[in-house]
Amino acid sequence: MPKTFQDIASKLYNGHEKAVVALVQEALEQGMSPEKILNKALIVGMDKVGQAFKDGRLFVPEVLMAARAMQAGLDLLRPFLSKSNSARIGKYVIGVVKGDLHDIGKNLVKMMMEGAGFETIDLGANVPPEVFVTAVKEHKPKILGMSALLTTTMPQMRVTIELLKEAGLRSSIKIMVGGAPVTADFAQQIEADGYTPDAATAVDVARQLLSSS
Amino acid sequence: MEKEKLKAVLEEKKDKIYLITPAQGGNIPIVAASGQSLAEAWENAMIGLYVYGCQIRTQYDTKDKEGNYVDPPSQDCTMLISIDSPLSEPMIHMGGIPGGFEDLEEYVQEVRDGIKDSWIRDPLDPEDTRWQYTYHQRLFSYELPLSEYDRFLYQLPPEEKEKFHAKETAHFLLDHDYVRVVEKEIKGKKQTFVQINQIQYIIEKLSQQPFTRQAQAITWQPYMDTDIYDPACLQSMWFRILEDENQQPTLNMNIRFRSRDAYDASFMNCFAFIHIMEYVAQEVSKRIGQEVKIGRYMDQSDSFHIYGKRLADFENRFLANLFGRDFSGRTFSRKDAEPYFQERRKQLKEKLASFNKK
Repeated sequence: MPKTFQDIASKLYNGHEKAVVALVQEALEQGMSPEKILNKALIVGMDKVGQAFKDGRLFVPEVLMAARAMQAGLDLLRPFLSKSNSARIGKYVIGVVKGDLHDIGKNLVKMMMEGAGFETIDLGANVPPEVFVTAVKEHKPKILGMSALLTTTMPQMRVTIELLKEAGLRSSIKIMVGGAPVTADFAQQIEADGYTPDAATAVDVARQLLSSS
Repeated sequence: MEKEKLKAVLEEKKDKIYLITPAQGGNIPIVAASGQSLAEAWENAMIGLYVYGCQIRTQYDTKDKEGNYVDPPSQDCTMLISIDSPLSEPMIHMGGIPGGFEDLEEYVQEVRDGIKDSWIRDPLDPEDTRWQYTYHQRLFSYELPLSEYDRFLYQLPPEEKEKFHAKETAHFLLDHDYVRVVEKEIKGKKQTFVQINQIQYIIEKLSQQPFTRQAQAITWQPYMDTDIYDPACLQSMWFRILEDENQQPTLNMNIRFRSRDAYDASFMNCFAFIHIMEYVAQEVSKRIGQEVKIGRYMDQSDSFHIYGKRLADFENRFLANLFGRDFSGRTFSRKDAEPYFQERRKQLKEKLASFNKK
C-alpha cells in the first residue's frame, strides 16, 4: 500500500478528521485515483476500526470519530466518484421503528455501514411501517435495517415486514434487525434475514446477507 | 492472568475503591468508589462493581423457547460514588458512552433543558408508545392533580388563607413562582394540575438559606410509578452550600438512584447531573451576588448493575482497555469534545422538529 494510503488509513483510525481531509486532498492533487483512495485508504482504515472495535480495543466514541473522519474524506471524493460512475456496495435504508425515539444505536450502525462503503438512507427515529415501505419503493435498497430499544416497540418490526410482503417488496430486499431487547429468536420469528446484537457486527451481517443473495 | 491484573489495579487504587459490606449472608454488597474527576470516579466504580458485586437476575434477562435463561445474571451492588472536583478534566470516560460525544450533549440538553419533554406520551392515546416521563419533566415540572380542597383554598384571598394554619399545604405552595397551575381537558372535563419547578425551588431556597437541608427534588410519583414497566430510576437530588476555608460558597450535590444500568447509562447520567449542578451554582451566584463554586458530587445507586448480556463486552472492552491503555487513552476532556457538542447543538433544532412532526 502506498505511504499516503497508509497515512490516510492511520489518521482515520485515530479519528483525525482534519488530517484525513488534508491527506485525501493531497492524494487527489497528486493524481491518485479517487476509487483507489476510497478502497485502499478510507475503507481499509474503517475496516481496521471495525475490527478493533469487535476485538474490544476501541470504545464507541472512537469509532464514531473515525467514521466522521471517513465521512469527511468521502465528501471530498464524492464529486469525482460520481464522475467515474463508481458504484458503492449498495443502498442501505435504516430507521428506528414507530413509537421508539432512541436513535444512538441506529446512528452508530449507520456510521459503520457508511464506513464499509454502503450508501445509507437514514429515515430517523419513530418511523411508521408505511414510511419504511415507501422508502424501500423509492430507494430500492439492498438491505433494510430496523432498530428498536423498547420491548413495546419491537412488534413494529413484524408489522413493517408484513406490510412489505403485502406490497410485494419483501423478496427484493434483505432485512436486518437489532436493538437492546431484540434477540436472534425474535428476528427468526418475524422472518428477518439477519440479526445484529451490536453495531460492531452489523457490517459483517450485512456483507454476509449480500454475499448470500 | 486477568485476576492478577485486577488484583494489581485494586492494590494501586486501594484508597479509591472500598468494599464496605461484602456479598455474603444474603447481604447486597455495598461498594464505595472515589476519584478526582468524573472519569476517574466512574471507572473506579465500574471496577468496584465488577470485583465486589454479586450476581442477581433481572426481569430483562432473555430466555430461550424452553424458558431457560440465555443471559448470565447481572453483576450488582449498592454503590456510592464520590467525585472531589466534578469539573476537573478529563471529565469524559469513553467507556461510559454508548454513542458519540454528540449524544452526550443531546442527553445533557434532554435532562437539563427539557428538549424532549414534548415526547412524553398522551396517556389517553393507547396508540401513543412514546416516553412516560423525562427526568427534566419530573425535576423541573413535577405534576400533581390538584384536589378540590386545594383548589378551593388556592382561590381564597390572602387574608382568608392566613386563617389556615398549615402553611405547608398546597394552597400556600401555589403562591410561589416555581409553581404553576394548569388546566387540562380530559375527556371533555376540565382537570386542574400543579406543576412544580423543583430546581427553581432549590435555587431560591439555597439563595435564602445556603445551609438548608431542604434543597431537594424528587422524581417518584407513587400513584403512577408503582405499577409501570419502566419507572424512573433517578429518585432524588439534594444540594447544600458550605463555605470553604476562604469563605467562598461551595455547592455540594447528592444524587440517589433506585436502579442504575452502570455500564451503559450511569456515566451519561452523572455527566448531565453535573451540568445541572453547574446551572444551580450559576443561578444561586446571580441571586446572592457572589460566585458559588462547584464542590464535591456524591452519587448513590441502590442497585448498580451491569446487565448479564453486557458482561462479556465489559470484560472484552472495558477491562481490556483498563489493562492495555493508560488513563489518558481511555478518557477525553470536555473542552476537546466541545466541537462535537457544538455540531449537535446546531443539528438539534432540525432533528427535534422532524421527530415532533411524526
